[in-house]
Amino acid sequence: MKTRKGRTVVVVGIVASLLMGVSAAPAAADYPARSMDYVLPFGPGGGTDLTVRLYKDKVEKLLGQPIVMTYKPGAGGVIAGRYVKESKPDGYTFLVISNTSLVTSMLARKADFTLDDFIPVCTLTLSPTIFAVNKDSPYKTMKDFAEAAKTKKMKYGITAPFSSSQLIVEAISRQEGFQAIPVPMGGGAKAMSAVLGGHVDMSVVAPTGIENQLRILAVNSEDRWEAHPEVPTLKELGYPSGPETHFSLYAPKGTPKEIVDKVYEAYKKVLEEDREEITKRAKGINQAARILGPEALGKMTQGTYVFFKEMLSKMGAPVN
Amino acid sequence: METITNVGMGFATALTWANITYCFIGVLVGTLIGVLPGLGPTATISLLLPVTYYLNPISAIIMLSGVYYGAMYGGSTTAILVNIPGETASIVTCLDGYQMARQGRAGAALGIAAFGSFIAGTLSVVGLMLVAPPLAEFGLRFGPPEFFALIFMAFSLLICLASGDMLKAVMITVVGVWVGTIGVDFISGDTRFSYGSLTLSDGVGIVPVAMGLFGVAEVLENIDKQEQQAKILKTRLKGLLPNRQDWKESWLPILRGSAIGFFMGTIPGGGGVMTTFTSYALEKKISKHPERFGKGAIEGVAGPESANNASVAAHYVPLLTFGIPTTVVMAIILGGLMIHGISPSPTFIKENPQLFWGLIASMYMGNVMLLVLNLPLIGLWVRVLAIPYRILFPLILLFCIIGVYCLNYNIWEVVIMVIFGFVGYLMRRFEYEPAPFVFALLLGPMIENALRQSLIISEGSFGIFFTRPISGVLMIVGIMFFIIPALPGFKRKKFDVAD
Repeated sequence: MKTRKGRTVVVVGIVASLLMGVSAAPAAADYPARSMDYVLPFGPGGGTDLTVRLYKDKVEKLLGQPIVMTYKPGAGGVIAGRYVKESKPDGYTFLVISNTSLVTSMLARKADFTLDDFIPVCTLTLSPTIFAVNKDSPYKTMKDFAEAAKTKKMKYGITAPFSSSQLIVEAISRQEGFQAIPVPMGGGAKAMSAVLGGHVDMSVVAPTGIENQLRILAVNSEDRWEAHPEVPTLKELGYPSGPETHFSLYAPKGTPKEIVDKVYEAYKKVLEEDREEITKRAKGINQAARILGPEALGKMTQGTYVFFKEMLSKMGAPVN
Repeated sequence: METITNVGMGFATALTWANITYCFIGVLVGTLIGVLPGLGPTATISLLLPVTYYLNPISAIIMLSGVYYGAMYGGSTTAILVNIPGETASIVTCLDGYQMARQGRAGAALGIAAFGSFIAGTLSVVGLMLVAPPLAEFGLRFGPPEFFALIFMAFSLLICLASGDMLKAVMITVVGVWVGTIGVDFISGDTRFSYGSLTLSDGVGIVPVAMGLFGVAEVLENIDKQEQQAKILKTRLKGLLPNRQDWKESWLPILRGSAIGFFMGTIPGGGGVMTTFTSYALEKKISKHPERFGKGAIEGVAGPESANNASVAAHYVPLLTFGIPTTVVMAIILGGLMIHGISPSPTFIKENPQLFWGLIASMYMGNVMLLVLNLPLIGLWVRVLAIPYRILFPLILLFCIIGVYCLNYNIWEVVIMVIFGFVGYLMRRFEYEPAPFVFALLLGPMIENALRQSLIISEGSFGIFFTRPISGVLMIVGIMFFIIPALPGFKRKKFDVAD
C-alpha cells in the first residue's frame, strides 16, 4: 500500500512537471535557479577566460547564482561551438567567443553549425585591431604607408592567415591600389615584436601592450580607442573598415528572450556600477569594457559574416 | 656602483615579512602543482590573478613568479622519479634523470637539479646586474631568419644526439617531423593529415606524446621485469645528495647551462624547452663519453635544469623592457602588472628599480626557499620509488591520464598518449631512441614556420639566412657541426669512444 502510494505521488509529480515544462518556459522572474555554464573555446588563462573574469564576481552577486567555466578548447572554437549548439536552450549555457572567431570557425574550419544556431546575448569587451609601425619608421600616418606601399612591397605581421586583420588590410589595399604581403606570426605579441625588431614593416593585430613601444597609425573600431585616443580610426581616415572584434556571449537557439534580456541587463548594470574598476582591469588585458545588447551584437555578427565571406571569395580563399 | 645600490634596494624590498610570505606561498603552491599532474602553472597563475588585484604590485609579481619557478622545479621531480614530464620544459630531464633514479640515484638527480637551479638563478641575477638593458636589444634582433638559423644549429646537434644506430635516429627524426606537420598549418591556413578529425586538426601535442613515449611506455616495459625493483631499493642508500664525483661532472654543465638559458631566455619565443634542449644537445656533443647520455648521465640533468632556471629570470628582460612575453605564463604576469598601471618601457629598469630589483632579489630568495624546501623532501620523494610496482604503476598511468586530459579536456588526447605508449614500447623493444622523435616533433613545426616566414619576408631568396649577421654566424656554426665529424682528425676520437 505504502509503496504504491509513493509511486503514485512520483508519477503525478513527473506528469505535473512535464506539463509545467510544456506550458511555461522557465520564467525569467525565477532565473537563474542554478549555476550558469559558460563554455570557453580556450583553456584557463586564455583571452576569453580573463574577459569573463572581469565581470564574473559582480554578475554572480547580482544574479545570485555562480558562473561555472567550462573549457572546451580546440579546433578554433568548433568544439566549444558544437557543445553549446547541442546544449539545452534553457538559459543555463552560454558560449563565450568573439564575433570574428565565431565567423572564422564557420568559414575556415569545418564547423557543423551556422549563425542561426546561436542567439546573440551581449558583448563583454572590445578588442580593437591596431595598425602599428616601428617608431623609427618613416611612415607617420596611414597615408604615408599606403603611398609608400605603391612602390615597395610591404610585409605586415598578422596572427593567422585569413584573420580579420588580413581581410581589412586586403580591403584597404584594393581600394588604394597597392599590394602588401601578410606574414603570419602565430601570435599578436610575436607580430609586434617583429615590428619592434624591424623584421616586418607593420603589424595588424589586437593590442598586447607592446604597441606602447610602437607608433600606432590607425585603429579599427567605431569610436576612438580610449587607451590611445590620439589615434584616428580607419573610418575617419576614409579607409574601408572591417567589423570590430568583441568578446561576446551567445546562447543556443531557442533560449527564451526574457532570459537573454535579463543577462544583458545584468551585465549593463554591473558595468554602470563599477565602470572605473572594470575599465582599469580591462586595460590590463588589452581590451575595453563594452556591453552592447542582443540586437547590436546580432547585427555586428551578421555584418562580420558578410564581410568575411565577401573578402574571402574575392581573394579566392577556400570557403567552407 | 649604482647597480649595487639598486640590488641592495631590491633585497630590502624582497626581504620584508610580507614579501617573504608571498614568495613562500608562491613557491609552495608552484611546487605542489608542479608535482601533481593536471594543473599547470598557466592555469594556476590565471586563477591567482584576481587575488593579486588586492596586493601591491611588487608582492603580486613576486608571488606569481614564485608559482612559475616553483612549478618548473616540481615538474622536474616527477620527471626524475616516475618519467612523467609534467610540462614541456622537463621533457629533457626525463632522459637522464629517470635513468639515474632507476640506478638508485634519484637523490643525486633531485639534488643536482635543485643546486643547479640555485646556482643558475644566482648567476642570472649577476648577469642581469651587468647586462640587462643591452640584452633586451639583443633578443629583439632575433627575427624569423635568426630563429631558423638557431633551430638549424640545434638540428645539426640533434643528429649526433641518439646514442644508438645513426640510421635509426635519422628515421625516427623524419617520422617526428612528419607527425609535427599534422594539423592546421598556420602560414597557409590549410589543414594537413587530419582526415576530418577535430583533435588532429589542432596537431599532435607534445605533452601527450612525451607522456606516452616516456611514462606509459616505461610502465609497459616494466610489466615483465619485476626483479629490478629490489635492486633499486638496495642501491637507493647510495646517498641522497650529489657526491664529489657528481659535482666534478656537473659544475661545468651548470655554468654552460646557465649561460645558454640566460641568453636564449631573452629571445622572444626562445625560452623553455628550446633552452633545455640546446643545453642537453651541447653537453652530449662536447662530452668525452656521449654514449652515457640517456643512460643516467648527471650532466644531462645538471645542464638543462640550470638552463631552464636561468631562462626564467632572463624572461623578465624582454617582458619589462618591451612588454614581450616569451611564454604564456609571462603573458599572464604582464596582464597582472598592467592591471596595476605598470607599463613596460625601454627605460623600465631605470625608472622602476625597486620593482625590478625587488623581483630579481625575490627570485633569488625563492631559489633559496626551493632548496630549503626540497632538500629535506628528497628523502621522502625517493621513497616513492619504494612503492611496490603493482601499486606504483597503476598510479603512474592514472597520473598520466589525468595530466593529459587536463591539458585541453579532450579525451582523444588521452588516446593519442596511449597510442604513443605502445609505440614507445615497440621502439624500446627494437632499440629506437624516443628522444629524437620528441625533439623533431617539437622543433619541426618551429623550423618550418621560421623558414617560410623568412622566405615570405625575403620574397623567396635564401640569401636572407646568410646576409644577416646573427643568422649568418649561426648557420655557419650549424654547417660546421655537420662537417667536423667528417674530417680525418675527428674519426680517431670516435674510435676511442668505441673502445
